[in-house]
Amino acid sequence: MKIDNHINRDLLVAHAQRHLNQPDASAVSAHLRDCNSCADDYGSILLKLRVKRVAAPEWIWQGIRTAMEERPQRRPSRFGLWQSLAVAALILVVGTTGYFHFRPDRAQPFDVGQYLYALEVESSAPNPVNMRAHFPGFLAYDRQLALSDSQFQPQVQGYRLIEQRILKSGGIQVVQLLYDSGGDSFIVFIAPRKVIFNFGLFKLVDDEAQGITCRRALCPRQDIYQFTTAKRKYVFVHKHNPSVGAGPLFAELMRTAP
Amino acid sequence: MAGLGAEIRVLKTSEEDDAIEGCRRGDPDAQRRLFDDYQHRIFSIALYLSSNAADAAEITQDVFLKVFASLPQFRGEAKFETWLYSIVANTARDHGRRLRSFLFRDSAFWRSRPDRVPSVEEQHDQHQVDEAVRSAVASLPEKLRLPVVLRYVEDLSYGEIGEVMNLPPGTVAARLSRAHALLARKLERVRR
Repeated sequence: MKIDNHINRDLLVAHAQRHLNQPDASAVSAHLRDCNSCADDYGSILLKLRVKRVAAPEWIWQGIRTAMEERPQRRPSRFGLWQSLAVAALILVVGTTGYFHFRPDRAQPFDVGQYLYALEVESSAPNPVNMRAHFPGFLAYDRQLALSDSQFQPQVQGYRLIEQRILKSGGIQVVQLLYDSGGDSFIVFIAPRKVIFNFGLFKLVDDEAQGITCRRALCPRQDIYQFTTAKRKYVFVHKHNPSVGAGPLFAELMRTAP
Repeated sequence: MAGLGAEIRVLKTSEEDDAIEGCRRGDPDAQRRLFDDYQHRIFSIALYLSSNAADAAEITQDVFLKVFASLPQFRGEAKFETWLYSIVANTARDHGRRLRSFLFRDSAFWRSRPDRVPSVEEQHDQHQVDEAVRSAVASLPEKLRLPVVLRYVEDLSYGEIGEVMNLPPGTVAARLSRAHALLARKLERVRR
């Protein structure tokens, strides 16, 4: 088929629906490369044929409800300026006393979840690997869990911690740790609640995954899960239970993960 | 992911007004009604803007949180849908910027993700073609992507798209035309 003028709509539709034989399809393809007007029509036809609405996953509503329940409610202030200053002074005194009582020297187990809840950190850091530079307060606050501090990195035999980030997702912060052994890698996410990571959806994100081959709860009562795709292992720590922290349980998780 | 076709129920104007009014008061039932009515639409827009179901789900979640938080300030000067689409577009833009710069592009873990339209040989079935279309749409420059999504997912007119994007209809038409030609060529590779 030789195409000298613009292609009519029926032929473009047939092309989009793959109804043309190979020589005709090749002729149309060649014409579309050179003719903007026909390419415009053809793009419009393709989109009309192919673009459609898609059903949203069912869990989204639950995630919204959870986020709304966890979000602090704003109430009109009943305090005037002096009352507010008095409260601020009280908080300062109590906070300072508390700091000296609970400072890192006392080796308090660091609770990842409390950290995630308590601090406002950047949602993204230009160089997240270098967290020491970006979160000095964080590292100064706790030498035990400092994610990039050599004194306490969650160690996994045969694996190297190559990346650590704090993500902000769905309004909450999530710690991400990436381990690699040269040929194998896995990721640990530590999230303060359940709604962020959905196993089914993560399957879609991971283009290399051939499906989830293993999924089990490491510690069912603590909501710590591990699942394995064809190439990688994932561990999810859903921190909504105060007993899940960076202490023995976290060590146990890191020991058993790979 | 299932296609929806004609299953989507659309609230009549008076029902929608009631739901919006209820949301302003923080009524959970009204919030649920509004969510039920718009969830698939917003998720679909987000999916074509991001080309990734996990991102689309997070964007959808964030959009509703913003809508419920902002509705008390919504004065009704613009149509509710126009206002809503603007929130979706802004949320998807912020989300994409954040993830692309932070999680996916920079991360060794995600570096192996294919950032291209799949080849002919990889196109085995309809599902993959649909994914290729989504990838191609999501790979468009942002100023072309949003009009395509609003036009073909939401069936908005040029004028309505212009209201969301604050552009004259003629500019919307020109951008769509450019997007069509770009997509036609990108998708030629997956056509057969």
